[in-house]
Amino acid sequence: MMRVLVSAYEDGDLEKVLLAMRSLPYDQLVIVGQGNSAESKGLETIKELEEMAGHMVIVETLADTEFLPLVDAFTELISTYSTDARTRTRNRVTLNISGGSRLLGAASLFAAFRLGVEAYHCDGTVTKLPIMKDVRPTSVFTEAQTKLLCSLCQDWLTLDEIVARAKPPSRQAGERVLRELRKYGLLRAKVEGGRILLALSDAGAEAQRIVHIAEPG
Amino acid sequence: MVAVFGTLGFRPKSLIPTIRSTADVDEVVVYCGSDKADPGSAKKVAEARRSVVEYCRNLRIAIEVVDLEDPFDFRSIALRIRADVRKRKQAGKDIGVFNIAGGTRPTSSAALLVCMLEGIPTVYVHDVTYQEIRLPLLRMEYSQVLSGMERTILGILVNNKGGDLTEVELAKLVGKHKATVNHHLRNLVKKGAVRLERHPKDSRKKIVRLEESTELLLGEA
Repeated sequence: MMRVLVSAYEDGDLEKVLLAMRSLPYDQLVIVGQGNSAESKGLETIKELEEMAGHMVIVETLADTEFLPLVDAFTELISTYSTDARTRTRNRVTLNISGGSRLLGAASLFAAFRLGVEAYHCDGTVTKLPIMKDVRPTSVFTEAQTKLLCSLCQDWLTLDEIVARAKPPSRQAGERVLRELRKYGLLRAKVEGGRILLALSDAGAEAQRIVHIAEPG
Repeated sequence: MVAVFGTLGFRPKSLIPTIRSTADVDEVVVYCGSDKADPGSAKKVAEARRSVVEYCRNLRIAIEVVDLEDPFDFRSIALRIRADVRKRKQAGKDIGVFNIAGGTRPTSSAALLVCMLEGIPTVYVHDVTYQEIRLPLLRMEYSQVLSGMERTILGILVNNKGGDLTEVELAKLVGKHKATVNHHLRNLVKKGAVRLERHPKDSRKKIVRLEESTELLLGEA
């Protein structure tokens, strides 16, 4: 199993990356930056050190400047490195969230929680973050909750429309699951013309994204 | 009544708009701290702090400013913030929002971590555009992911903090057969919550240790 260390980075983060390199075992180092961080002097030092050990650093540059697209890009990047492209076996990915801009750092932490990836904060000291391996925020949902969650969207839908989309065993069962999802804060509700309308909240949309990441297609 | 939490660095304007835009605020809790090696930074943080305190006093909002001993000590900051959040929740207070825009990177990241674990609405202010962004946080309910036995084991290990417990001793405390406890321990090792270390005097035995991060996960309260 190849061990991949993914480290968020911006100019000035050399010490943070060096601390992660010293403390966390890895076979492949991946540096993730934004803008022109790939041209920084610190990164040259990291590349030279890896070359001395007979390895190459992979540098990934994420172009997004908005938060959620950046989280999506970071999530995709981690997913890519989680599998060995040649052997199709699973890699062990470790994430260092201490580097990068505040936005990139927050996005990397978000991505780590989405995927249940081992993550560390390396700045002066190394702190392991309380993220359980392979456990995602959606792991708590039942099959029925997941199915119904995936049939919803951020547009308002009536109960009849939701039942028609999700096809629960019965209307009552569907209503019960909707109540459970609402309790999790995943749904917004309003009454219009005497009818109850439901839509995914922002947290619900995020939950749906995580389900899709876990079960693509 | 609602509390607003925030991390503060040099820019009071990264926090004040959040206080202003939150309804029914009666308490503000601010975390700040400066780089001891940089006297210039201490002055700027003090000025920002003064502005936020003045703003809250003028609006008759109670404010607690938490001076962080070391604003780069991620772990201590996360534990402190989590304890403060839990204290308010236990007192029945609603935490309206946590603004993580200011302060050092470790302070801001520690706050985000607590928000994820506690399910607190979080606001980030973009470094460049200054736009307020609400983060769609999905609370990480680890307690629901762990089995009852796994929670019991973690509880015993937390209470036994510092003491060495072997698998057999742990099984006795749990009141279950060693094989049963071992099965749950293996799951906890897989999840990265505990680790097994060889006993220094008897290589047949293993000592069960909590990962440091598990303490952050469970919180101190």
